[in-house]
Amino acid sequence: MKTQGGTEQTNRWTGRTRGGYLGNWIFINLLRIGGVWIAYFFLVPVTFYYLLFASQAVMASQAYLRRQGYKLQSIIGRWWLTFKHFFSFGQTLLDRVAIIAGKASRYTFVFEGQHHLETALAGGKGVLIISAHFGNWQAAAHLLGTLNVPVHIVAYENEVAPIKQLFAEALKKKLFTIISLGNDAAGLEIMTALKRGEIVAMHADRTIGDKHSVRLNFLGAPARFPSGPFTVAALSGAPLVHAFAVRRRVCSYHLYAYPPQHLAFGSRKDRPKQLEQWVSLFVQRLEAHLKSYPLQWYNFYEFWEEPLSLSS
Amino acid sequence: MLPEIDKAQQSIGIPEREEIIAILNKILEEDFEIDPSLLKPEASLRDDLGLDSLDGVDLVVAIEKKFRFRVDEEEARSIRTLTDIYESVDRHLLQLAENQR
Repeated sequence: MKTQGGTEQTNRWTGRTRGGYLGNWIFINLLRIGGVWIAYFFLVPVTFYYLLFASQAVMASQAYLRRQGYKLQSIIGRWWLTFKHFFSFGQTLLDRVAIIAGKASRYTFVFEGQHHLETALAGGKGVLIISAHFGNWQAAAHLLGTLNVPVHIVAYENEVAPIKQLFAEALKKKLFTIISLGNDAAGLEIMTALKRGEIVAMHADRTIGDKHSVRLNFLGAPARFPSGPFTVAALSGAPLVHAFAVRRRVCSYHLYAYPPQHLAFGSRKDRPKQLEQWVSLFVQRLEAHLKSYPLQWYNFYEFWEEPLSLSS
Repeated sequence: MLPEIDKAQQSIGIPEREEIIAILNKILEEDFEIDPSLLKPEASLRDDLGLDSLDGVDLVVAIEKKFRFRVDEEEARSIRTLTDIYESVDRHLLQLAENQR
């Protein structure tokens, strides 16, 4: 199972899969042999395990749920909701594997705003798609594949080699290539892909340090969001599209793509203000979707600048 | 920089090395807020000046705008120090001037 939890302030997630090689091997084969429902069934004890032993993720989930307005007064209510939150994350991970392992036909997909992406691509400058650790970006990648344009996902890739190999073997079809954020030339690779008229997708909800970030109110409290993706859009001239893929029910995904934005910097001194405006619009849209699908937020670490006071 | 390139530049009216260095250092000081005392030719962009991958892209775009030429990905990848940038700009300007002759 992948985790996005961690403890360090400057690098709060590891980008590595939890559960080890064996755990991942079991679930990949459960999906292959038994299908999604069997894998979901075995996800129940695994979710319990994380509920009992992943204390930081439990605290992060409950802090997030409180910021979403859940009271979480009773212990049972609190744990039940966190269980559902973790289970939802597990479903997303299993769906990801199922989709890339060739079982996408068992899912239904709705692509709302496909024409926005087509219009943006027609400009020939590529498209930069911005999303978040919300819903299921693998489902989005599957739908982006229907546009017949190479897709690149920008990600922090820190997986250990055997597990990487395990997932690589499970793939039936390569939906995208990864541009690793750990690579010094990542920025150049993104720009080059956009110049070729291709799609680059990035998440814009996790920061590495405070550089290239914007402080904004998110669900009622200050949090930092990366401004780098928006800087890339402005420097490259590529249209920027906000997109979110949510699970509406079991085996059913809905991708929302917004109209393209054409960002351009004014003077250097105006940049911070411009970036704040651009990031702010993205955060507003993210918040709106989170209101509808609160349990599909998958940042299991202390996301906000200040921990939530329980008295508040 | 090689003396023959300097001579060639003078003869065809493109900025000399010192002028190029001054322009590039000004970009780094003003746009990237880098302390002028750090701007030594051997300075590593990442380790000494603290420029990350995104700053690198920003710098390439700033150079392309200022000097009106394109830096391809392979060349940009090979740039590690300030000297690499100075030499890259030198080469491109010389090439541009030669193409215009």
